[in-house]
Amino acid sequence: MNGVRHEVLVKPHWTLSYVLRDILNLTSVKVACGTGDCGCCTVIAHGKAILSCLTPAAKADGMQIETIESLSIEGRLHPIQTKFVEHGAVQCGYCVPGMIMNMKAFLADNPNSSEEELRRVLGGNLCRCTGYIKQVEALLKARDELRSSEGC
Amino acid sequence: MLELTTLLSEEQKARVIGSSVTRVDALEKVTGSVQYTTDMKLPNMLYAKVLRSPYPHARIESINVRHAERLPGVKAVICYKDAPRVKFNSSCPLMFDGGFPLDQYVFDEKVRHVGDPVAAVAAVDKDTAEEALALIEVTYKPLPFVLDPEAAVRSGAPQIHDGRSNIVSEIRIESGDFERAIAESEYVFRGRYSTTSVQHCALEPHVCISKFDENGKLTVWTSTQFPFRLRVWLSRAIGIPIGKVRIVRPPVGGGFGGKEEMTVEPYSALLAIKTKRPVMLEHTREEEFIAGRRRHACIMELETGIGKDGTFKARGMKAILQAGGYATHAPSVLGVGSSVFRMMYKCEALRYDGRSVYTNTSPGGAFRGYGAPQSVFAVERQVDEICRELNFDPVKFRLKNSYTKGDIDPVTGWIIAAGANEECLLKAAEKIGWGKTMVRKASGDKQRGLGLARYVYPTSARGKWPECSEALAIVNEDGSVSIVTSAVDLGTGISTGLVQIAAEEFGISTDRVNISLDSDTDTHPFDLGAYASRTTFVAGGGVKLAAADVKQKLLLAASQILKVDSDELETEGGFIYSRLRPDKRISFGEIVMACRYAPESSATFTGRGFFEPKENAPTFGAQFVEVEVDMRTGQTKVLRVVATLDVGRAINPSNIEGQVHGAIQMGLGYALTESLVWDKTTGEIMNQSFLDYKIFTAADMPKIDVIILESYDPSGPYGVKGVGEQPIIPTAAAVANAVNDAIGVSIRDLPLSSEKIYGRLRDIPD
Repeated sequence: MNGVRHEVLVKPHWTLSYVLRDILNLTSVKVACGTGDCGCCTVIAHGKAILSCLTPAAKADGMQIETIESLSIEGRLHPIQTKFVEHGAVQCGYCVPGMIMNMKAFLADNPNSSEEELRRVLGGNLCRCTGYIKQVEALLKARDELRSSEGC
Repeated sequence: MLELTTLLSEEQKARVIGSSVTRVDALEKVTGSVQYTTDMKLPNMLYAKVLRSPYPHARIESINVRHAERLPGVKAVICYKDAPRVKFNSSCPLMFDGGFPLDQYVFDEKVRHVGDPVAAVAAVDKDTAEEALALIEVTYKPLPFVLDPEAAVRSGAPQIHDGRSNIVSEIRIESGDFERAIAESEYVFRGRYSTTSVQHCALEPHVCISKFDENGKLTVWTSTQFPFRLRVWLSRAIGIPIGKVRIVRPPVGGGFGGKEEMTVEPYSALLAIKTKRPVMLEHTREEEFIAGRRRHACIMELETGIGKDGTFKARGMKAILQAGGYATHAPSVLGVGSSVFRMMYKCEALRYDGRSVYTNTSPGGAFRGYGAPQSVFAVERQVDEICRELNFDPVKFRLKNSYTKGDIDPVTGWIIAAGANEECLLKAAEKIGWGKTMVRKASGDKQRGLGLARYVYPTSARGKWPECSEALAIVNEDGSVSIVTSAVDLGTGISTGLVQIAAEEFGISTDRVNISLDSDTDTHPFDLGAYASRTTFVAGGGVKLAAADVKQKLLLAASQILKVDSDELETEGGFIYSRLRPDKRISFGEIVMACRYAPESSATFTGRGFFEPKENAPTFGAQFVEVEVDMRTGQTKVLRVVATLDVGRAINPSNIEGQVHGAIQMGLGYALTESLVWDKTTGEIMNQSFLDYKIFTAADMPKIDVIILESYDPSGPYGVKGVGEQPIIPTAAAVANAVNDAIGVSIRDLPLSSEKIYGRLRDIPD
């Protein structure tokens, strides 16, 4: 869990989002629908974006999980976070952690993605404030920065 | 892309106002560290769940809570036997005699919609609370129900509230001689237009935590748009004096009008009082859909007379608004709908006949635009039809007939002091290439079309309702300034705007101004709440006056310390200096340190500002939309939107642009994909999830150009007008007009779903 090993005894019906929020106090993980439709609960498991509200907690045994709390350790922001700030891509902020985690996993695997591909993947994260316009702008800039920092 | 056209004079220009400074809450939000209500955990906190009616209309014959109470982990169960029998209106009306029916109890013996609360449980965890709900035994006597507002006013319809008809409110306006004007009109257009119910879908559901202490004080942490109004009505609903209720508002995860409503608070409060433990109650998404609020569906019949010269001779609207099981905001939503209908176009002979009606559906409520999107949809759809039929240019026709600067509204007497209506239409037309030849036939069976719509909408509720806001500006020992206000930031960026206003007034940079992202009725001064696009206009005025007030105190103190006449003092960059002897200079921080901690010269550096706008500041705007319709499937793709809006004065252009983008996302859903659907046999909403209720995603959004116009309205601070609600108002009408242009068929009913377009193209009934 964000680089730290945790032992949690879970009930069979507990979801990963419940354990993250209520047991481990990682409150950045938001549950806005509980049915896997909105993307607010997205975290990264073994490098892939998953919906923690649909993931049984027991299935997380042995998984390496990242939440947004791990992105800005020592005050340095991830390029997606920086671009979200610079582009005014944040309004109420409730969807933001899940959105950033989904796109972090996607851009890590697809540094050369097109805007259309990026929009399609971002389509898994609902937002009711921004119309996604500034978020897409920010993500394109972050993609370019990530690509150039990786030297490809 | 963002453009800004300013009509400001040189001396009206500013330093910090007008620049897109970074949002004050951005860092906390991108790191996920911001704490919303649902992220709080108090020691010994219990979790509540509400048992909801499965029937749209029924009497409760008996409730047995014994088995639920005995379940281990359950700490309290409440139903109508435990709640005060005090009537209220969950819209928390501004005035007790403002025409809002008080038709709700915390629990009643009768239920009026599927999802109406019947009982509530507090338990050690959510699972136990949920389990306890299943153990509550309720015997219902189902009653005949009615979902359709037109059916609800027919004779013999089920009576939803005992002792009164199903009509919640009525508005009739008559000016000039309508019948004669119709008879004398060259052309008469009649049509029936309808809009559906849509949901706010704020990502953060309604949620609160209540705590009742040994002194009989109730503290409620809640995601609300109006802490002070909520305090008054919560106190009344649960029978605790106002002074013993404290509302704390943590950062809000979206509101859009849905949280201008008392929903979860009374239940969690009563459970907290009963258990003496903190109680959290949070809606699930399903509860948001069935027991949250929604935009009122509206059926509108228009009768319009047009003269040969292309002016309106008569304008009539008959409207019926589906209020739902309880009135809540319906009377004033109908009121705004009628005002906006009237103010859209000039016409002597006017008739409005509107009713809001009880139905056995979830209650409608406040929703961004508050009655205007409905009226504007009908009016602007019909204008489009008129222009098509009579071969008028839709831009010129609108320009010729709309109210503009200097006009006086005959009914309210509002003078339109400043308005860029003309510029809004012309700039948008130019940007989208109106009048130029466009490619109509796209690839395959796809056809393109262009449409437009405009709007008029007030800023704040000034006119009929109270309008005021109080703010404090406190200068700290390091010369920084703290702004204390109960203005609610729903995510719109108002906190950043207020920081900019303070920075402007003090002549300091925005990073020297603090504002907290939450507020507290015990410590923060009075504000009415976030609604009616009022916050920058009213709360901004309060902050500006508070800054001016404390600046006077600083100048007075500086004059004593520097021993110079205060007339010769100037303020710059957090310093006060003598214009004549610039070496006589002292910083804000030094003044505060010198005065606060010196025994002989203590002084206050808290400024107070109370702002009450004298007039309203009507806003104008237009949207042009390009669509592509697949003639085989009826599917509509929105290719492009150009939005213009007259904001009076732009405090933060980037944040304004964000409001427009978000409003268009909602407006496009309203036009094409969103609509609550009731099962006619059970009265239940069928689409209770984001899977079945489709809001636009990033993949669906078109390119949007935003053009901001600054007309400067003297009623508010710096010339500002409202921004937050307005851009949703014309979107659905503009899309429908564009679809009409593309397919050659006029559709008068929202939403323009693929099925509907497919059917209309083939004469298949909906």
